[in-house]
This record gives sequence, structure tokens and C-alpha cells, in this order.
Amino acid sequence: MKTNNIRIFTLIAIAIITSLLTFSFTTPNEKIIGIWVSEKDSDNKWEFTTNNKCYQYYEGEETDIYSYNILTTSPQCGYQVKTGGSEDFYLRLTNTQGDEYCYEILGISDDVLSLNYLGTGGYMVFNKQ
Amino acid sequence: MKKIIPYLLILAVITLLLTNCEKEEFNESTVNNQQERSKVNIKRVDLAYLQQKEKLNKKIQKIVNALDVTKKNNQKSSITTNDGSFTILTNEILEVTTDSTETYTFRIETPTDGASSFENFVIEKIKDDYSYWIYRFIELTEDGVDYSYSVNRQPVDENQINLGDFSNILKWLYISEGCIYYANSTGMAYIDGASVVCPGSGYDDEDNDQSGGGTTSGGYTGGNGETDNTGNPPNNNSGSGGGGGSSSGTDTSDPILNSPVGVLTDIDLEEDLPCKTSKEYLKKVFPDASDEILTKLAGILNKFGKDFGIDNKEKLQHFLAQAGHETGDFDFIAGEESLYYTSSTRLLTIYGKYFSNTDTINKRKPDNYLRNSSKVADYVYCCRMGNGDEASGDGYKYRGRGVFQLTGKNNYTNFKTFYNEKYDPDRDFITDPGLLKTNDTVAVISALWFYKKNVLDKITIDSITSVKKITKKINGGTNGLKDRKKIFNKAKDSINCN
Repeated sequence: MKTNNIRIFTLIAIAIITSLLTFSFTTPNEKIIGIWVSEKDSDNKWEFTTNNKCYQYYEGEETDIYSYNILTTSPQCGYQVKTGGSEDFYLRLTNTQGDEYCYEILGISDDVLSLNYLGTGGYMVFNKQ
Repeated sequence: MKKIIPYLLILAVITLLLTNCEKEEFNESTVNNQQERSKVNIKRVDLAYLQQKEKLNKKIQKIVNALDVTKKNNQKSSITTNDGSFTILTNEILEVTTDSTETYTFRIETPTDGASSFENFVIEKIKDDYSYWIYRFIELTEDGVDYSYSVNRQPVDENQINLGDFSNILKWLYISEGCIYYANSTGMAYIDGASVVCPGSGYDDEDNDQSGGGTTSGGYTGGNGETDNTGNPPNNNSGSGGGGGSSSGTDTSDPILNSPVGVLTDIDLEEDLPCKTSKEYLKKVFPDASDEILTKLAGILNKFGKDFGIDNKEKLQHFLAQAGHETGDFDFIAGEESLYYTSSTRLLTIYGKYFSNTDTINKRKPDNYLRNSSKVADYVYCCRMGNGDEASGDGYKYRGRGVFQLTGKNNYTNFKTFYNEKYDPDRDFITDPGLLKTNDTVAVISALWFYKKNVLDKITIDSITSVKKITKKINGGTNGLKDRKKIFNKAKDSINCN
């Protein structure tokens, strides 16, 4: 009986730890995949794909295509940024015209992506479509 | 015989004036006020014209008891006081008439008072009464930059020049794109729905060339006690400033300035700006914004826009589209970032990396930050954008302010460095960052600085530059693009400064 209890406890513990690890270690690279709609302007949509492309749409029309990377280093776009924290992630968009846009990821979950455009204050919140 | 000599001298003076003054073309424009109650006619005239008017000529003859001609040439005919205290140039005279008033404005060569930026001599006729005035225009300074003028006037006695009793400041003048605005009360550096007129009226480049007056600008200032003139700008404004457009406002409550009066100065009131705008133009773009805000905005853009490379209409149109969106169509000029949260969910949504209800080891519980702007700002803005740690208080101190919400100690420092070098070495936005919120001029300059740094220095703006491209540089995305485009299209229709 005692052995059974230990087994059950161990299984439950493993299940909990596994689920926690799965939840915690879903990387921003995985979480960001999908279509995101701006909370402030529903005409503004960003789509991140697994091949590191970011398609931007406005009023249903594609407006820009960027390559994207999620980085943890400093500087980004010429700005010194915090590094070393478990959630210090930065999104960088680049295109073939040489444009570059960098954002601090203020928060990312299955439902919400919150970005700060580096060099400015404030935030942009997107909801997963 | 001795009794006759003075009269002969006076006669000689008049003769000299009649024979030596240039014949100048008249350029007339008419101003209709909104209520069609009275017309204001502006004419550029010469001394001979005045002397053809019998009554006025008598007055001129009378005043030569105090004023005498001592020098003259084709370029600069003038009248100098007998005591040599000042000289009135007669090579250009501005006649401003209404149904019941006439004024004749002359430029005084050198101000009678060192504090004056420039002075005018004005003959004023109301009904059948003539009076003589010296108008003193004194440039004011706001925030270390020249901004507006105050005007005093002093009566000049017909028989002797009396310089002993200048009256108090009567009015504050604000001069924007060559238009003269009177503020309703002292202490204001901007107009508050008062008389608006543009000196371009009745003047064009050809006239100025004829006058030999260099950059002389002319105009008239509104004001009304008895005549109901509104002082509206002319409809056919042909001045180089292009101001024009209709403008409203009458200083009908002004008991001191009795009639519209011309303004003549060597100071270039209509600076040769590469891209000027006006309250009237801005009103077409932002119809719901107050006249006060738009007048001030126009003045600031005209004064400082060139310093930031706004030298064509597209650059100005794009700036207005972005700034207009950020300020709610200029419902206000200077905004301030709010970090006042009343919901834990909201804090978790925006700042997921900083707040958590479960991971209290790496993050903080949002409940402890509700209804506490400074605590939120010090935490989420800590240690970035040049800010120190939480204890430094930099996050809240350098929160978003101004038209484009300048944020972070680095931005404030860089802006301060620029401002100190360009305008005022004593202005310190590090110790007094609130100026970006409380001072509209600083707020707009901060936006112009941000616009240059983030847009003009990075991309070329021309007629095909899209609003989206500018928006991405300002906003980092395309939030509000539809509204920004809407404002831009209005600006495109209304702002044409090239």
C-alpha cells in the first residue's frame, strides 16, 4: 500500500512537473507563431510564420513583409537593452530595403503579445486571432 | 518781416515735401468684416497723397511746428523732429481707413526708446478729430526665444514733442507668418480670439522694391472701440506670406485702440520661411481644435519648423498627420503618459514579463501596483532608455511627455543637449522634465526633434512618400493608420507652402 502511494505520488509529481516545464519553456519563438490583431486598431494585423517571416496587413491588405528574429542580446537597433533576465526577449524585424524595427517583448502568452517599440515609451498589445 | 520768416519756412518745407517725394503706385485692398458692418481699406500711399487731402494737409502743416524736414532723398524722404529726437520716414506710408476712421502709419527711423524693437508714427482720424501717436513695439521673449511683441503708444502733441509719458502696455502682439494678432489680455503670448490681420495685404514684392525699404513689412493692427471693425484679413491677400484666408475675432471691447492701425517695420515679420502655415490652414485640417491652440501651433511651426528641416509641404503635412493623431486632432498640444492602472488583468496583459500572480519569485504581483502611477513607471521603465534603477525614480520622472510622448532619460538628455545648443543653454529638461507637458512650445519642439531624428534623418520625404512609411517610424507599427491618412489627406488639400 505504501509502495502504491509512493508510485501514485511520483506519477502525479512527474505529471505536474512535466506540465509546468512544458508551459514555462514554450519559447517566445513558438508562442509568436500565428496571426495577431492589434488591440488598438483591429485593421492592423501581424502574422508570424515558422519560416521567420512576419507579414503585416492593414485593412485586409498585405502592407509589408519582414524577416524576424527573437533575440536576447544588446544592443538592438542601436539601443542598449537589458539582458540576462529569463524573459528579456527582443523582436527584430528587417526587410530587403534595409529597414529595421526592434521591440522589447513586454509579454507574450498564448493569447497576448505586448511590444514596446525601442526608443519610445508605451506599448502595442496584440491579441491572437 | 521777422514774423513772416517762420511761415515762409513752413511753406518751404511743404514745398520740399511736395517736390521730393516719390510718386508711388497705390496698392489697395479691401477687407470686409464678417458682419459686413464696415470695410477696412488698406492703401500704400506717399506724402504727396496725404497733402492732397485738404484737411489732412492742414494737420500735417500744423504738426510741422513740432516736426520739420531736415533730410531728404529719393530713397529716404523723412521728417525729423525739431529737437532731433527722432525721424519719421515718409517713403512708405500705410493708410488704413474704415467708414469712420483713418490712420496713417509711418516708420520711425530709429526707435525713440532703446527698449523698442521698432516704432511707428501714426496719424489717427476719428470722425473729425486728429491725433498723433508713437507706437512702440517691444519684442518679448518666452522660453528663451523671441516670441511676440507688446505695443505701447504715446500721444504726440501737435505743437511739441512730448516723450515723457509713455502709456502702459496696451496690448500684447503675437506675430505669425506676418499676421498681427492682438491678445485680449496682458500676460498672454498668444492670441485668444482677438483681432487678426495680415500685413501682406496691400503689399507685394513690387511695392517693397519701390519703397527701397529692404525687408520692410507692412500691415495693420486691428482694434476697435467705436467703429465695429473686425480687423479681418483681406480676402485677396497678395502678400508674400500668403497668410490670407478668413479669420475671425474682433477686439471690440478694446477701449484704447480706436481704429485699425498699420504696422511698418524693418524687422522681417514675414520671415522667409521655407514652409509656413497659419491658423486658418490648420483649422481646415483640424476643424474641432480651438483657435487658441491652432494659432499657437502655427506660430511655433513657423518659428521652429525650419530648424528641423521642414522645408517642403510634404514634410509639414506628414508631421501634422502624425502629431494630429497623437493629440486627438490637437484637442491638446502636450500630453503625458498615464501609467495609472486600476486592473490587475490589464497590468498582466501589457507587462506580462514584469507581473504575475503565480511566479512571484521572478515577477511581482500586480495588485501591489494598482492606482500608483509612479510605482508602475519606476518598475517597468527601470534600467532601460537610460533610466536608473527603481529607487532613482527615473521611470516616472521621464515618463512619456510632449506631442510624441518622449520617454526615458536618454531621450530627455539628448533633447536637452539639442535645445541647449540651439535655443537656450539654461533650459534643463533633466531637472525639470515636466516642461514637456506644461510648455506648449517645448512640447512641439520636442516633437519636431523626434520627427527629425526618427523620420527626416532616416528617409527622404517627397510627394510619393506614404503615410504608412512615416507611421512606422513614429509608431513602430501601423496603429491608427486610417486616421493618420485621413488627417494627411486633409493637410494635403489645405497646406501648400511650397
